[in-house]
Amino acid sequence: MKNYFHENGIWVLIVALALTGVLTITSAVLPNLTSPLSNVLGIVSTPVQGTVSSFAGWLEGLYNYAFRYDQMSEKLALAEQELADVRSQLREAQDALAENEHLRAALNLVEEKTDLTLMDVKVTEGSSTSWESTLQISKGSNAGIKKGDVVITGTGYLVGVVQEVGTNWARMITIIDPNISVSANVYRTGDTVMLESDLDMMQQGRCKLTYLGEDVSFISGDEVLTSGANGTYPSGLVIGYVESLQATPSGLERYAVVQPAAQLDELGTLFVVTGFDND
Amino acid sequence: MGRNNGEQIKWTAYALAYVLLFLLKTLLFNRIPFHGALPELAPLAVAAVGCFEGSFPGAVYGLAVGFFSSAVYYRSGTMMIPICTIVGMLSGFTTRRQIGKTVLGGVLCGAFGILLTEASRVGFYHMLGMNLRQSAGIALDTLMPIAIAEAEYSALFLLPVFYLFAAVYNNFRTDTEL
Repeated sequence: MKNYFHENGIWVLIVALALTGVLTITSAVLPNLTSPLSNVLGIVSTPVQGTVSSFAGWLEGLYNYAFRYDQMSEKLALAEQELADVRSQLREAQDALAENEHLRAALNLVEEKTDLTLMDVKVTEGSSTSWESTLQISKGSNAGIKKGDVVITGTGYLVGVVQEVGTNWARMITIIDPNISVSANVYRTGDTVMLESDLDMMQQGRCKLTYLGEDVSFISGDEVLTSGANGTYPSGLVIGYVESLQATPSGLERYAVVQPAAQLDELGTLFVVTGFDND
Repeated sequence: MGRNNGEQIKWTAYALAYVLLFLLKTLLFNRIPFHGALPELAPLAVAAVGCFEGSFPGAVYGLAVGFFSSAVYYRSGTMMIPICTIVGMLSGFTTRRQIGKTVLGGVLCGAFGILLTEASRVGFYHMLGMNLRQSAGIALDTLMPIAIAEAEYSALFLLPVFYLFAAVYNNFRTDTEL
């Protein structure tokens, strides 16, 4: 009997099940613990992954130059047109800003603003399984990054939230990951909602707004921002744009599909918000 | 003494072969998704070692690979530990049959490994969901396309992974196995 168990690896299976139980309980009791093995592997692999990412970016640049030159030229022309429009809007906004400041001073109002402390990081690795949308970044606890810090693009678009922190690396979930949960605000209507996602949405590269009031009237293109409720995340970060309003299969609730503002598959350098002040 | 050293070298080579697969997956294949899915190579490696070495060594290798996977892959949970152990153990049964240590045996065991992994994930997420916020499991309609795409992508690596471990086995097997 003993030989049978040994030869067929039954003992090993029993050990495996016991180990699984212990690790499951440990991760439930200590959810913020990064495993030592995971941390060591992250420390060793981060520089290698950083180099590979840079090399992959360089190759992609060469490929784009060689095979997508026309497409890039069109993009550049479009960007130049958008820049001209934005400059025109900026001129109008500067007038409005001056008037606003004048009125604020006259009424003795305090200015509302969010000050962010940013740290630049590089994306070193994408998702490691098909069941998540995560990114690994090139700095960790030794640079002051902690769980719950939000990550944005250079243009201020929300990319995700740090979930696991190693010594010189961190892993973040993106805004389309099924575990995301951020309090959001629809700018045009002022409605406060929850930003969430699920596997279906993740596969489509989208997220959704839930806990909608009965009388919400979102339209396609409505801008979705972080609300800053509870002070967990900074307010006013652009999450994305409403694409459509849908009903759940039961028909009892509605949700809004959101197209993220950040291009989640084309990220190189990002910024971790290590401190903020929602005034 | 010589045989013992030979065994150590062989198992070091098996470990390095898995490290090579891990690096290829994280640095290369994870950048090339197929229908939004990424390949799962751990069960293939364990199945190949089980095929060549038998149930007990296969189960031990599976336990080690499963533990490694659960430690390094974010949110893979601890599910991979029993899955890889079972794949290594059951693949080891083929060594006592005619099919043992053949390409057909390796491919069948690898395919079983992929199926067990995907079935376990789908079953787990269907029953319990993916996170604490979800009160119920996830619909099969949502889970199956991802599982199928992942299985198809992983299946592309059945032969390359088998031949990688066959090369290790053929180059480092000890005298008693000749």
